[in-house]
Amino acid sequence: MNRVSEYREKQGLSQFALSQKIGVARQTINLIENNKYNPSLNLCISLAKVLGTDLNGLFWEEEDGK
Amino acid sequence: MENKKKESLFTKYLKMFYGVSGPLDEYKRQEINRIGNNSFIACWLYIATLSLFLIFYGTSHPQNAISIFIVANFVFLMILSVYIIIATKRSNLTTNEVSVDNYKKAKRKVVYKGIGFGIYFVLAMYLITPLTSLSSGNKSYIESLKHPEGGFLSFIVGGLIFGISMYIIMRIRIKKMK
Repeated sequence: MNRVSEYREKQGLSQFALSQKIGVARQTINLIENNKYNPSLNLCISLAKVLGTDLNGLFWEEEDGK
Repeated sequence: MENKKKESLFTKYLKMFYGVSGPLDEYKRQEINRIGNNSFIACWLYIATLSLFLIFYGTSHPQNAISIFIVANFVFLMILSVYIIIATKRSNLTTNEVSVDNYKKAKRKVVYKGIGFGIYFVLAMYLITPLTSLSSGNKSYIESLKHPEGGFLSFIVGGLIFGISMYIIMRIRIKKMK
């Protein structure tokens, strides 16, 4: 599981607001959060920048499965 | 970070053809590629099969073959169109999500688009319909343009129905987001 929704909520953004900031559709954000779509590296970097974190923080699974 | 790149003509064409609303991001592009590839494979198989049919049957019964060819093409195009409509709807490509601030603007845009589609339909029908009378040989193309068979009113009514239908379809697709 990725932590996009967790970081998004920390920033107080809705899926729609985040999608507007990155320039993608809300459905795409929803699919990424539910692990139904693997985003490209460029999109991952955009997400990390907007959410104020790095790729490891967003997508790297820790040993305890988080 | 906001992506405000100007859309190319090809992107606009892709969006219009598949009825995509909103930004054509990587997910939507991937889905369009998948739907397009499936359609291409179906077209390839259909053309190959139909060509074989025309080679074996068309040489001995050309008139029957032409009739079957026309009907089969029409049916195939209908099936393909239905597939594209269902596939784009399932992938959520057609939903037009707009913010509360832009909701009124989006609604107005849809009205203009509906009017545009209506005008386009009237012009297309006005120019294409006389071609059918050419095959019967009764009137010349110019003569048919001056005096269309159903009269000008039929084009206008057709354009109105088409424009309103397109407006309703696009209006249903708009979703207000907070």
